[in-house]
Amino acid sequence: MIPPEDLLPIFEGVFPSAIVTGSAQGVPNVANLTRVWHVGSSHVAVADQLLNKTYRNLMECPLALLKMIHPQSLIHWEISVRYLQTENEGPLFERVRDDLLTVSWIAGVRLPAELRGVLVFEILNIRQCAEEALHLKHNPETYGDFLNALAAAHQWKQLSYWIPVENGQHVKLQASRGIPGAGVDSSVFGYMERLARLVLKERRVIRLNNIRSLLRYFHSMEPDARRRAEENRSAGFPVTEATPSHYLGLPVFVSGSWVGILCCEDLQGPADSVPAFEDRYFTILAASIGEALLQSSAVPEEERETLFRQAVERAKLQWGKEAAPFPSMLSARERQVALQVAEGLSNAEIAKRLFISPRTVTTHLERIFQKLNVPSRAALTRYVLEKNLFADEPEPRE
Amino acid sequence: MRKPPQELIDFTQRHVPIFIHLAAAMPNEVPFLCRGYGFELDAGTERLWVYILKNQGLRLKEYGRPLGILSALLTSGVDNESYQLKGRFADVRSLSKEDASLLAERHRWVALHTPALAPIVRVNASDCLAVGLRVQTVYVQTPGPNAGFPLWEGGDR
Repeated sequence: MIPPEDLLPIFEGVFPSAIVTGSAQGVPNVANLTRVWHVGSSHVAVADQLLNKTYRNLMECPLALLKMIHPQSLIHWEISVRYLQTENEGPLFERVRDDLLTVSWIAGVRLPAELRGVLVFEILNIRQCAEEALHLKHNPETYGDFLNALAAAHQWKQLSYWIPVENGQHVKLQASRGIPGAGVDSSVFGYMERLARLVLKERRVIRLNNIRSLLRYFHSMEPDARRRAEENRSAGFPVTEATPSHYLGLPVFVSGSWVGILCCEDLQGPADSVPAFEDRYFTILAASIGEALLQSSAVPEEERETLFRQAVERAKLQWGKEAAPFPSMLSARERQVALQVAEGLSNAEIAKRLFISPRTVTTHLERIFQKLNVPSRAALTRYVLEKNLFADEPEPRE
Repeated sequence: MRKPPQELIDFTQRHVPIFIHLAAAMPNEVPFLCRGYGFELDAGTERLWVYILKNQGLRLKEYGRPLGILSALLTSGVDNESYQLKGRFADVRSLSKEDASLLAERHRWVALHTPALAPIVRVNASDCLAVGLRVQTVYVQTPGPNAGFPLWEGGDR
């Protein structure tokens, strides 16, 4: 769940927000809200001045949905909540009443209705409503900045960005970078378009390495292949020495909704760019750049590329944390204990070797299990071996 | 069949931005809410057609199987005059040329009165579909002490 602290602007707003509740029979009720109050990291509050049906529904079914707009990005946020209690006095009640009275004083009119209580909710889930942000119009240069940031961060040379169209059945090219012949010959996007359509259909990262010779072979198996070759024609798209050999297709989602498809192709060998990253990295990257794309329509032109570069760096940082062979959360002593467990030593043997008490070893082990989310010594041993952690441990000093 | 109340008909013809929410609920589940971008109130058939994005239409369809009572809240963006219409799900259809005109008109009033919010409601007709509900009850919403007061009840109960 995204910490509400990151969303504080939506709790300060004059932008319209709404709450929807349902009766026990499933009859919905929507009410406009002037404001939602942020209460700590996991609760929100709503002023009850005229919330008649909303209140009755909450007594029947405590689940509700708040819909709010971020005042800068204009992105809708959906906050699923569970009603906990109504406060009719106390610090929160005073705070909400003071806020309302201040605004009514500034307005020069009396409160339209007395504050009857403050409804307190526990936050269950927060999601960006990407569905209602996709149409926010991007400046035509946005996707160029987007591809530039990705290219710079990964040394990718040939990129294209596509969006789903026609109810998700087809793709449309939005921007490209570094594709020879782009703007002159539409067939240069042939393989990328097919890749984008495949990603759209399968909703997963698709990576194809060293496929040029296979592409050529498949073409050669086509009926009339020899005649076509003699006539310098090819079924589908021509395969030449300039045809890229590596392809990467990356679905970009936010909150499970399509934002677009990033395609990357590469002439160079496996040591180069695309094959150097794991699929997990691309999944993290897709989520990060997807959110940046949604926010970009509200960002000044000169800050757009920075926004995208920051999104890439965030993804790299997160991936680095996940992929680190020995999570930085383990202390040096815990690393030593983990490695010796993997060597097959008992707690007593480890204690003797490290000059600590067996009880301390037990304490370290409990912490290691918790931090690495492993249930047993055997699982810890597997973890160490699979990640080849022995190789990373520095030699003990003399 | 009774004609919807004149207050509501007058409201729908105001030249002001009208913000629209369409909601569904299921027992013991978090309700569903999406933005509407335009609407058509067909007084003859007591149907309200709310234009929502197709991707939200898919979510709505996933949410309610089958869809029961829907609720639409229509709110003036200049003075908070608002009405809530509730009724059983009737149908779903693509937007016609007339719908597209109504959609464009809704956007025009938002752009004129509340330009900061105009990008939010600037959608293409081809990206939308119309969800119909058979209006059973109309409630007065904000502002004022009559919030939640039933203004009208249709024939189809």
